[in-house]
Amino acid sequence: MRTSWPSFLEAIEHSGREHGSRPAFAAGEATYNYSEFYAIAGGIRDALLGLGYGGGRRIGVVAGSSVQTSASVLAIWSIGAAFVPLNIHYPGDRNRRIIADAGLDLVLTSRPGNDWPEYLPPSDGNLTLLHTRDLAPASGKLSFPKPDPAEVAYLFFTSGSTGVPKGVPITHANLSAFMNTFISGMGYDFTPEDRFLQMFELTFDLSVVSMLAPLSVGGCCCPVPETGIKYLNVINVLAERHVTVALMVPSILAYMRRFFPELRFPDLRLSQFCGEALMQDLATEWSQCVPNARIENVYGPTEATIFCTRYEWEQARAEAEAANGIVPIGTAMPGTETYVVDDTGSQSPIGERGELCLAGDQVMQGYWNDPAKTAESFLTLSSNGKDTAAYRTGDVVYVNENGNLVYCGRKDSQVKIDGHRVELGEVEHFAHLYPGAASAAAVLIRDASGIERLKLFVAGQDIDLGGLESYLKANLAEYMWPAEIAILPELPLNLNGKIDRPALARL
Amino acid sequence: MNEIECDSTSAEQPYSGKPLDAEVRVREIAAGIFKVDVAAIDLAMGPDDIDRWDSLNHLRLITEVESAFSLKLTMQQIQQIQSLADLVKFIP
Repeated sequence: MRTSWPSFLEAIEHSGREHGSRPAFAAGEATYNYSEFYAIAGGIRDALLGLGYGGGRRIGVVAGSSVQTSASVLAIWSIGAAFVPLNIHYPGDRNRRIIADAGLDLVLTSRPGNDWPEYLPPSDGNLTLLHTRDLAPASGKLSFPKPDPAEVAYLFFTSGSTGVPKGVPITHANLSAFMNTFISGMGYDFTPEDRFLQMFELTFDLSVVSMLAPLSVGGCCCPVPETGIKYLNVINVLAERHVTVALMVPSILAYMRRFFPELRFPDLRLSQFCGEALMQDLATEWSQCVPNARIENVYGPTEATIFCTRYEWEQARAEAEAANGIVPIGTAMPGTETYVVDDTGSQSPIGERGELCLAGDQVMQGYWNDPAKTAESFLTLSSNGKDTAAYRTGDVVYVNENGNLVYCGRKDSQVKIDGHRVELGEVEHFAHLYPGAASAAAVLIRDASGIERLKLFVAGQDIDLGGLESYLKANLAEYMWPAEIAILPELPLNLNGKIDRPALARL
Repeated sequence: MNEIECDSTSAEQPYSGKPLDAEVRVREIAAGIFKVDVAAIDLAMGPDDIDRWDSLNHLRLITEVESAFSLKLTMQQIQQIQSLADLVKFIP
């Protein structure tokens, strides 16, 4: 079976030709084979062409677990355009900023209802909403133009510390580099028999590999339903769909932990974790539930296309290598270069902490329309007479004696909530704007189940707690909402006069 | 009969063991977790009806009800819970 392609789009097109009657997308009660799935994408493609859209354009897609959502992404690529995900759980103002920054004038949605949705900015005639659920499937094969490697395949927006989301453009060259490595460079030997879990919203870039990997090998994508309780849905999909490949965020393990003695997934052969720190004790307990699975901890920022380092977990070795109970993030995947750099910009020796910097084909060229942010996020490293532009991740790591990268924390105040990047500064920015708030500090707390959540402390006069909660909900994405808010007369300060965050975390 | 426990932070009265009290107690626990007025809590409500009924709060709801009624629900039972009323059914 051929596993390497100049573009990931050729692999997807090949699956349509070779595996027409095989299952491609299994959602809820419905399973679509490749012919049916690509016909739905073809119907959306025809509608886009009818509206005059083509190469070089950017088109918004409202996240969802429906077949039309995934088909919309294929349809957009089939006309040579790029997709920009939007989320109904984002406040309207956040989606408005994304739409404006990305220059969108068309958004695709498969959600029910024909009214103008609240999560989009008010209709002013400059934005068209195309409902994809009622479009007729097209006959004929789905084909893709040969992409310009420098063209953007998708544009994601991540949390920004000033309250403004940052645009991360991932090109076809970036995505093809990742997909070729993932499919053929890591020894997974995927086959059309593989069934892949898809538990991520489209606004989280792990959704891209969870959708593209099965389509690249003729396998089946198994999305998790949006309704109900997510971690229970994940358990159901893993069991009922006999999933063989599952990429998950580690926090899902914390939710499942109480059920571990009751869980057994013998079909799972590759169990990967990404998005936040993987705890060694959880991985050990999980390994009992997946007796036939290879367990891996993978790591990477959106800016380096999905993930770019890998650690192959094995209990005894991981036990010895775990630092503060956290599993290492391993070594660079083929095509990526990792550097650990100290404050002077020099490379740190083995065992010394420094900032992890990344280079290679998966790394973006720069932030969307933000040269200043791009300039501060890259540094030039000189080695053997060669200069390399490396992306500064903000993650503090060291290389252990086995050559594996070990994650130690962040240089800034970015945290992860269920795998989502959250700049504490963004939460504090909006809290500070609320009437009566003099200062605000958000900290990460861990509950008895080991699940991490945000707690927000606000100091000020006559602050209406309910009003503050509503204000934050109106301005922050749902995953950024504080689980708890406490109003204090003033925030504790440390000896340097800065907010004493460790003291707040202990309150 | 199960041992009876009372969470003093959110219970107005100790649980008396009567079915009606179980409903009242579950509504109180749910109101505390989801941060809504207990009067707004209907037993027919499920995860899609309440904003804050996410994975984390689902786990907290189950754990607090288990603690309040000295129960230990199995995964199979928890899988069947689509509403507060379903949860009440597992309280003996």
